[in-house]
Amino acid sequence: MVDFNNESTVGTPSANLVKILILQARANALDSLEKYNKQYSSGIQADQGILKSRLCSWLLEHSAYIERTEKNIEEYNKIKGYIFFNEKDLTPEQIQKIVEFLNNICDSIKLTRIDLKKAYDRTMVEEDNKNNDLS
Amino acid sequence: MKIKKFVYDHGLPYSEKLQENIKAQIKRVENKRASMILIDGAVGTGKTTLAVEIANEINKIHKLPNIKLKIKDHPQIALGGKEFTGCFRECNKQKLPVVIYDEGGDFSRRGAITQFNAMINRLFETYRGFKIIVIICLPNFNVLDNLLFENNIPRMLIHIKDRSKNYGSFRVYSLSQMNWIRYWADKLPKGAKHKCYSNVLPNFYGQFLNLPKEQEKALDKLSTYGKKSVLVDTEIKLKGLKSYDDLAKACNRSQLWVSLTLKKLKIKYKTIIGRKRYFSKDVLDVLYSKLEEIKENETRGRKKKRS
Repeated sequence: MVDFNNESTVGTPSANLVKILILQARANALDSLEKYNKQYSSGIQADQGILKSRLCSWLLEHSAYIERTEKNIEEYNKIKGYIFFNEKDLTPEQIQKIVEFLNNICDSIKLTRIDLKKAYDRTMVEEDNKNNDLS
Repeated sequence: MKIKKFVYDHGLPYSEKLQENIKAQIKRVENKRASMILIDGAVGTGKTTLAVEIANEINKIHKLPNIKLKIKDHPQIALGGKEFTGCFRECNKQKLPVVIYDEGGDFSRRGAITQFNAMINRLFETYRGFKIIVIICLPNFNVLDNLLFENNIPRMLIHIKDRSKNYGSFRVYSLSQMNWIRYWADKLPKGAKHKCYSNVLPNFYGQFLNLPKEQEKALDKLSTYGKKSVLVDTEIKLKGLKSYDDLAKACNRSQLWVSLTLKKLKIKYKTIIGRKRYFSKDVLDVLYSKLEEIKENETRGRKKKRS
């Protein structure tokens, strides 16, 4: 958790704080999704309140970025409609779409991308040299 | 009857992968960065043959004819350190894209390795913007200086492993792999140093064919000529033979004076090597005694004049 009462938080660059906040929102949303799925699959009529509110806060973390870059803005507006202006419960397909969309954004801004190491052709000697910082 | 092949189906005398890597080196050189390709292997494995084939292909890319292999005219192939800087300058003059350094028996002489390293270092410091690829053929690349590797000048090592009647096989290592080979060469005991190559995974393997007959003959002539000159030098040094030039330098007199005095003293040359007359060591003592005689005569003359 980002502790705004802690003095060390003041000295931390805002970009780093926001990154942590997004990851936190994602973790919370996935946690509530897991609980919802558990209840849903065991036949209990589960409440979507927590899940919806967590997805909402996750989306809000990204909203400024999406609106500024206008990347996938149509899909964003659709998802915004599902979360904010939908009084009915979300269908499993809608939940899947929302999570996929938000996950893809996290990947595109390199928040959750861990396979950053570039694959290269080892038989090309110059590429091998470059990869070993010997260019 | 089987027809002997000199190129593979893809039109090259060696593996296609090697050609791709050489094209990458050409790009590197065009960006004004130094590039040195090392070819090493045991005696008679075809280091110079492969070097000539690579040089020919580089020339072809630059729309130039095959490299010249005449004894009197070979600007792109240097036989030993003496010729190397000259060839480099000539290549720059004629805008030739590649120069080969064939060791030509250089490494059989003591102190030659340090001389060679000093020359190569100076050369790359001075001529880095020349856009010339340097191919160096040597028996073992471990003799090269640390400084060259620290400056990332050698880019690729082609280690020739074996050669049969029709083709040879090689392994190619990148600079990082070369550094590992050097590490293993240091670590392994003296008798097992050759194992350093098999301890490191090569970047790729390949094969090469022989040169066409005419070129092969010309190359054989050229390389034996280069090695012969080294042999002659060692023979002269071992026997202690002196030419007119050496005698003149030792006596601090002109060559004409030396030839005339030797004629007067009726001393004949011992052998002729490469149109040069060589005398035995003892001739120097005779000339020194003659010089002393002349000096004595001069002093006597002066004393007479004074009296």
